[in-house]
Amino acid sequence: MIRVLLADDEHLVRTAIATLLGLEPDIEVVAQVGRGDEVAAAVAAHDPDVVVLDIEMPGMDGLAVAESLPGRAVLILTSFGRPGYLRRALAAGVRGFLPKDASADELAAAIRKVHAGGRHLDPELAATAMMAGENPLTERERAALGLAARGASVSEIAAELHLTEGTVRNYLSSAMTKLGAANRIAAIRAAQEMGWL
Amino acid sequence: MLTAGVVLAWVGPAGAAIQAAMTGEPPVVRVAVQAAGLTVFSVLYLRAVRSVLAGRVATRTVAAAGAVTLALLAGPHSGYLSWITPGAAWASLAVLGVSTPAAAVVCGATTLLAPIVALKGLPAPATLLFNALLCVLVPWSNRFQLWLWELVRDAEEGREAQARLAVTEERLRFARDLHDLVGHSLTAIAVKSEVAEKLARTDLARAAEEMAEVRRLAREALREIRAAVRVYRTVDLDAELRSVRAVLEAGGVRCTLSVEPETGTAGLPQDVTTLLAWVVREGATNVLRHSRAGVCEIGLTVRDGGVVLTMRNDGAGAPPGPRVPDASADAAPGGEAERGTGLAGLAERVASAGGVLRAGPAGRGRWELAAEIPLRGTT
Repeated sequence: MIRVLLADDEHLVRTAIATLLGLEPDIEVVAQVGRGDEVAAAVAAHDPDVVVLDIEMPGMDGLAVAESLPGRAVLILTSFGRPGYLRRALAAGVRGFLPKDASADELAAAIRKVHAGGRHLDPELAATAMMAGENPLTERERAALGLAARGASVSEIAAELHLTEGTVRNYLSSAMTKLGAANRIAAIRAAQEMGWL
Repeated sequence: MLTAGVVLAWVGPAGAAIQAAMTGEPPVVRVAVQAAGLTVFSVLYLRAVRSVLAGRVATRTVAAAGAVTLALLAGPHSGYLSWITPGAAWASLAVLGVSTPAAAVVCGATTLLAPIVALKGLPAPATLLFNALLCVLVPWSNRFQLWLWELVRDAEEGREAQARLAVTEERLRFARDLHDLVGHSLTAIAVKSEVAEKLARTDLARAAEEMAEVRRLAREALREIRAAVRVYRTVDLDAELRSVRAVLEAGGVRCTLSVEPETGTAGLPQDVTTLLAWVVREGATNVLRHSRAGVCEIGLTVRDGGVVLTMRNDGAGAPPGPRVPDASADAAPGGEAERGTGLAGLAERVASAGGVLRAGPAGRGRWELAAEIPLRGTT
């Protein structure tokens, strides 16, 4: 018996999926939660074999939840794949990526596969979730951050781009703000991961 | 810069006052009276300029400023500077926002009347010429600046209006698309569910059939919405390539990326880059799904007649080649059938762009996906 935890804030969808999975002979839904920040406690209480997570949930999004559950078999079930989702999911160790309208048979097959240590990605959803997304950085910010990524100092960047050091610092800090990064290193990594450099 | 008239109005009297002070007889009372008048004039001037910029001619304010100017001119003053510049300043205000003939009349009248009022008689030809020069140059430069300012404002308003129009058009298009896409399916779903509801009391087997149809319709609508949303996203292929590499590496596949020439994919037509982005994403999805690959090499070469994209991985054996679209999903345990889209759908899209998509073993346990798309009319 594969013990499954289901987390989705859409009550109707969650109970429908739970009902459909309950019809499978080898799958048992042991717990259901409607908020991302309730998953950790439910996992600790029930110790499920596979955790099925929606991405958009109140409290904590599904990808952050997956990141907080290292080593556990996690399958993401989402309506629409947003750009950049797949990378985060894979980096968090997620092994299943399925659309919510997948048939019950397909979902059950994916749960079995993930439980067995395999990977199951829906091609269409995965392709959308792999997209780079709109680059929020301007050409200058990209240039400055790109040089910083190669180890250039502020004065070297300024010389290369024919700007003053103050302007370069401004570009770097506006890039950091846009990327939600606390420092230059984090900004470089975030931009590289999204393919924006 | 329209406010330069204020400065001009003060310059003459101030210069005259300083000159008078330096020659030893500081005309304190006169300077104070003039300063008070000029202050009033300045306030009126600025107020009139503000309403001109807002698109109204403040006739009363301009007239009041004229009265103050007349008083300044008629009052005591020392030397021609102290009356010439306030006169010209008023003229440069009065010509704003009026027709060219009216402005010409203002300038002419100021040129002639200012000296007559100030000197209570005819001025010397040189003084008259200097006054005429000021009363033509400053007002006309003011008019030119106002014209320029209006030109810039109109251009900006035009741009804004255009942007708003574009946004509105885009919204309308999206609303239309959305309605066309979802309206039809939802109507069918509503009708079919009602049929199923009625049948559920008498004929369970047929009710189940109807519900299966409802499910199919709903999935189809979802798929169509996804496809529509994708069309609204623009694609930066270089960013997509890096994003795919990041995804593969997050999935534990070492990934190298080589783009030739180094200038990247700039200049490629949008439809080609969008298609290539799909190929590269599909390829990466397949690497993650099927193969035991540890390494993936992505190469993109832009040559004169076309673009070649190759994705090679070392996990051959598992990945399937292009298959006939199969809607039955990969429900069978271990089955890896594509879900209707996948490589087969992609091969069709590449073919419709005049290109070729190949997938197959590339020897030594490697698997290669290659797409070649011709470039027409662009190099």
